[in-house]
Amino acid sequence: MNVDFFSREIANDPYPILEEIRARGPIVWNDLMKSWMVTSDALCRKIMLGFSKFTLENTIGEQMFGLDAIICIKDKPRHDKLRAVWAVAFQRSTLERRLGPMILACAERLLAPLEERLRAGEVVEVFRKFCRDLPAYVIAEMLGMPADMRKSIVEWSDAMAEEASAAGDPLAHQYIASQNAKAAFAQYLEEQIRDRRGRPGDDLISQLVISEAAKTMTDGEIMQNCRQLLFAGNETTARWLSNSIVVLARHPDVRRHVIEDPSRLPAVLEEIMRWDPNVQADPRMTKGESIELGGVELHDGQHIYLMIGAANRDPARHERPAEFDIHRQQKGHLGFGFGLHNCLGQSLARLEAAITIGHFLKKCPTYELAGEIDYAASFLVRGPQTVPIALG
Amino acid sequence: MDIDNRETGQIQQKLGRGIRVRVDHGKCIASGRCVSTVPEVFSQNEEGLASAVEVHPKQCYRDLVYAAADACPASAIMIDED
Repeated sequence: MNVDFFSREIANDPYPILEEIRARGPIVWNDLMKSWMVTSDALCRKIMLGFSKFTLENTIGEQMFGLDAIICIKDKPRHDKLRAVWAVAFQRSTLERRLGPMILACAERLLAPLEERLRAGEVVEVFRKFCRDLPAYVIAEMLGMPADMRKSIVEWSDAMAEEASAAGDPLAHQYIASQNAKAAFAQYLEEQIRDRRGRPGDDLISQLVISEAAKTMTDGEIMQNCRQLLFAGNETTARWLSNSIVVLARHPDVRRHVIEDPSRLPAVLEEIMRWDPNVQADPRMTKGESIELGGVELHDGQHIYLMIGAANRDPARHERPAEFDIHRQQKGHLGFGFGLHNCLGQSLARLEAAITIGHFLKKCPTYELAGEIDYAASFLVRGPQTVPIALG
Repeated sequence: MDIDNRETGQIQQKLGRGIRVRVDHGKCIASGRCVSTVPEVFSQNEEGLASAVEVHPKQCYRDLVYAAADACPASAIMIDED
């Protein structure tokens, strides 16, 4: 099969293509991408658990984040030691206590000027000035970045995200822009790391710098982990927020239901993540001895994409999987991954989404989509990137 | 006096201050956080899914079990007060 992950077609609506792939089997060769595509929930879980046989080596993940970023570390003790440094900061009670009010204040501040324009009858694009900025500001605050750096952080991580659209072509302008952004990020973060070493605070960079784990890490390794955290902490969540606004606009009964009973919002957001996840394709490469998977023999060095959007609609796990059903008994989906490398920031993302979308619905309960929704050509990390709305 | 966990659990149950721990396998994402927080109470099977090996943990693990439930990214750990 030939499926072009960098086409606008698949970014705009991947589900017809994903069902075509599923119809051919749980693991299907993509000749164009020279990689296997896995659509089965059970096989995706198996691969995610087999972190030493299915690594991020030579994948877009390693290219983007670097060898020493935690997402690429396959030595479990080393991974766990590093992850433990930030684990407490990312657990629910800590987040709710320390960040809840800050996230709400941030949502209020970003939405207020847009609300004014909406009330005046304007059509307003809400991705760039609302959904995009909010998680970037939150993660920047958690890393102890000064407010005047937020704009650069958004620019750099957007440029990094473009690398996922460069189709592995080192001459593509997206690839070059990403390399430049990563270098700028690296330089800035290494300065910050040196600064925190001298006067540590209670931010995430300081927590890592003064940790036991950092004693055997170079500044370069520490930098890669901070950079991954900054990137992961905002690109994906931004798209979950914009997608939630789009999905709720297209399902007015669900929106009414949530407005009547805001306590339903977390379950609705979770179903949005299952039904239409933001990480659509999660890369791996096989390492070591050949392995049989779904009736296929995989040899050393073969590329695999876990098709999360397909796995989350696998009929073997979810009943009526293509149906957006907020009342379904939620069985774990793979929107935040599974096993060793499951998303560190998932509780933060859920808190941000619940507070931000809750505030948005309170302020703009009658919004309507008012123009074309654009997903750019971004499939690996997917979500609406142009969301024009108006008040109905 | 040293007695095994299950007995302790039963005694605590009778006294009305024990806890009962369950992990929802439908929600579990095999993060291993519960096992690293309190290995005396949780373990993971070969699929990575966690279970409470001590359904009625000793009183001394009570706070850690609550910490594990808080640390679980998937909210898969349920605790009932007996």
